[in-house]
Amino acid sequence: MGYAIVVLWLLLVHHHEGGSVVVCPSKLLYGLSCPACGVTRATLLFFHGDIIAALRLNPNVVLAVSGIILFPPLMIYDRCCRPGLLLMLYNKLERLLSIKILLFLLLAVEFCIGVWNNLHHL
Amino acid sequence: MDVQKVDMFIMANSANLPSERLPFLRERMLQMDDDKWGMIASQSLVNPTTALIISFFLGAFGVDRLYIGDTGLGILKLLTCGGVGLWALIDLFLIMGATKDKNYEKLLPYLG
Repeated sequence: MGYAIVVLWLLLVHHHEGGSVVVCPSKLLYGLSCPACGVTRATLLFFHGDIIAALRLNPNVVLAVSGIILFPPLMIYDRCCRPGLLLMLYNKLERLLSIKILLFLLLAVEFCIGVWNNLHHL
Repeated sequence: MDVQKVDMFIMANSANLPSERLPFLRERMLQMDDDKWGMIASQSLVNPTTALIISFFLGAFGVDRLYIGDTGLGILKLLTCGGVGLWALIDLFLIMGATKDKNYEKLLPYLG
């Protein structure tokens, strides 16, 4: 069933608009960019040294780059030395996000980034 | 706890809970004190069909996971374009089971 899902998904996203492939379900279904659209391009800009351009393209690049830098060593440490560390960190994040004001703040920021993405036709 | 009360609860919520856990849930509820009934009855269980509909229309934004209480996964889904679309598609098949499991987890602390 997993194979069928992947094949179905590849058929659905098989658009070639100027050589690019659209994978965002929001764009495919509604023609609207989601808050994460452009993060890959922003991350590439960031690692090429153009930090200002990366932030202007999509501010979520901060989260993406943090994840890219922090996740591999955490995963290795979790596997080798401290099993359950990632799960513990995830549970701490869940508890933090259970504070309604923090959750609404984060969702408001992401909504603004989504609007920004759509205004800049990402 | 009263057998009739427990059976009514199970019947009313059988669609919202994992079917394989229902016998265990019934057995534990029958052994429980009556004073815990209020706490159990006050738990708001999420409808799996509603979760599926939300997953279909708004799954790309992680709203389905937020709706069932998986806040971290919902935010992660939002920040990854529904897991580049693949997670959103897979969740269409998983969300109903996940909703029932979450409902069951809400009742677990009161079962002793």
